[in-house]
Amino acid sequence: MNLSKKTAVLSFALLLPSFFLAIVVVIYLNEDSLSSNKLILFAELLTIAIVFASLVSACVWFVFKGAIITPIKEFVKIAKIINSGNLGAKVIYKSRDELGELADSFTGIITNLTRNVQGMANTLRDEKEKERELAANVSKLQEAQAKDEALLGNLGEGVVAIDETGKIFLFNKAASVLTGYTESEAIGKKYKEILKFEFEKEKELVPDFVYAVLNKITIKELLHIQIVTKWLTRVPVTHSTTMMTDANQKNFGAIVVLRNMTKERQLDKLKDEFVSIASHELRTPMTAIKGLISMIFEGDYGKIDPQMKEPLSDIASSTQRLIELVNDMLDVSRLEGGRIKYALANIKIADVVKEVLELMHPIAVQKRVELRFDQIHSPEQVQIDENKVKQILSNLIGNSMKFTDKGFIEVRFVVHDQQLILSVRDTGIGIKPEDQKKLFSKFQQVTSSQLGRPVGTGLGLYISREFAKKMGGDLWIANSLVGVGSVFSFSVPLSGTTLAKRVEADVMKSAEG
Amino acid sequence: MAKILLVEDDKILQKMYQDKFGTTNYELVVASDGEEAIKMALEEKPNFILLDIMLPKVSGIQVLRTLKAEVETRHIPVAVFSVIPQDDPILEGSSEILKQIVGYYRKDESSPSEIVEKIKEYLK
Repeated sequence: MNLSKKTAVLSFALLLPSFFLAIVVVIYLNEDSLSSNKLILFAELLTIAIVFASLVSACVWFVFKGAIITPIKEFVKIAKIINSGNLGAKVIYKSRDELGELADSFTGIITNLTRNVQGMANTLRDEKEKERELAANVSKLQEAQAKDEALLGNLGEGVVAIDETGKIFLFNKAASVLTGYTESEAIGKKYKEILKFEFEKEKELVPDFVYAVLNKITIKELLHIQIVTKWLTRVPVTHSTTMMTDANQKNFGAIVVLRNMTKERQLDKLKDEFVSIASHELRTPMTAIKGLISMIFEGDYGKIDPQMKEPLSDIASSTQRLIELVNDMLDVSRLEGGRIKYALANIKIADVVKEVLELMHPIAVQKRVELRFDQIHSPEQVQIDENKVKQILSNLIGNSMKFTDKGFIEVRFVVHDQQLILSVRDTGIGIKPEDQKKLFSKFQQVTSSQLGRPVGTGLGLYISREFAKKMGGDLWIANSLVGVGSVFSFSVPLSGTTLAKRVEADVMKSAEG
Repeated sequence: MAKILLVEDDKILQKMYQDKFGTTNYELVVASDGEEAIKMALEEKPNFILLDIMLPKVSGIQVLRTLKAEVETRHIPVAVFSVIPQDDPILEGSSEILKQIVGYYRKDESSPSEIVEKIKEYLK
């Protein structure tokens, strides 16, 4: 029952006793026959009472309706409006009684509620915004990841990522093609089970370069290796293995990039063949020129006019230069492909020096430069490829000869630790310090601009140094002073030393096959 | 008079060595390709063979294999006579058969007189 109905009932309840009293009085009057005055007075009082009661009832009704029902109805209306979702509704009630307080509280509640709801709405909007941003980022990340995956997947190089415990966690398509293992076969496996390498020629297992990278151990570059596939076939590869570090430089594994070198090897072979044939074709006519001139000089074709000697000698030296150039270029081409063989043997070094000096003797006589070598009967044995050492010595003495016009060229050697150091000293023009470094580069000739100096190929020192290194030594400028002369030295292992044994083992490996 | 078989496809070099050997006591016979070399080795029975490596028809290495397999020719000393260095990749896989030669002469490094001297030294 609503409040207005209750008020009506209350007013009616107040009216009802008045009427009841009036009826009782009327009945009593009829029965007891009271005096008429008393009766009239009583009737009047009764009427007044009834009227008063009616008035009180009416007042009560109006007071209730105005003070309670109307504001409550207002509250109900506002509550309904709020309930419908409109938080802008306000209770307008200015009274200072309890209902006024209630209205104020109600307004307060609505205000707080509105604020809270707005706050919540804002939070919700922020959250949604964040969610949208997150979704956008996720999709960007997914896109980037998809791109990365596509990139890795379609990369021609095999990519294998290995964690710090040695397990594979990434294995791209090219790695699958190269090794024969599928991605699912490789992921989670130890890299040693999947990646097996051996040297191309000697079929020996190569040092574990992945282990070396994971453990920060430096090992020398591994050339000419091949991977052993799942089907036990061999594919020539090159590898690039690097450590993976996070932002704090912490090592979290290694990444191995493998490149299939089959085509390159085929091309190398073709190149070798081409160089062999081309050099054969070049050398044959040069051999004829050189041989015929030597025969003319020797008088095989009759006595020669003294005037002809000089131009013939020029032809001979030019031919010799051409032959050297062809030989040097061939050497460089093969040095760079790692395709030069070394026939190591234990040789008495003094004999080699003596032989080279004998060959150089005619030129020294011609140039009036003295050739010196004091250790003709020295017993030192070295482990060398005799022809390569002869080539180095000829190159060094030949260079000295070109740049020395007076004085001497001296060959000497000293034993140092496990090596024998040979030095070629001259009293030539010397080399400026800034030019000394350039000497070992290919085609570098620091003095070629000087007039009257015979030129070489600019490859000799480069080749000689590479030869010395491969035989377990090195080659360097020991000293050089402009106007005083130069000393070039190179080292080779003494026979029977640990160094010699190690070099022999290395050379044996690359010589097989 | 000792007979030398020169296996050489270059005509100018053939003539040059003929001229050189003409000044010596040796008789020089010349084959221009691998096939002819085997034929002449059997027919001429030379005392010494100077064998080039890069030859038309049959390669020098193949000629060497044949000569060393034939009863009639296996005793004839053979020296490789080439402009190809001994460590050239073209000779890869031939190291076994090359053990049977008596010398590896580089014709671009030695003059004709030096070649004659080497043979003289061997046949002495």
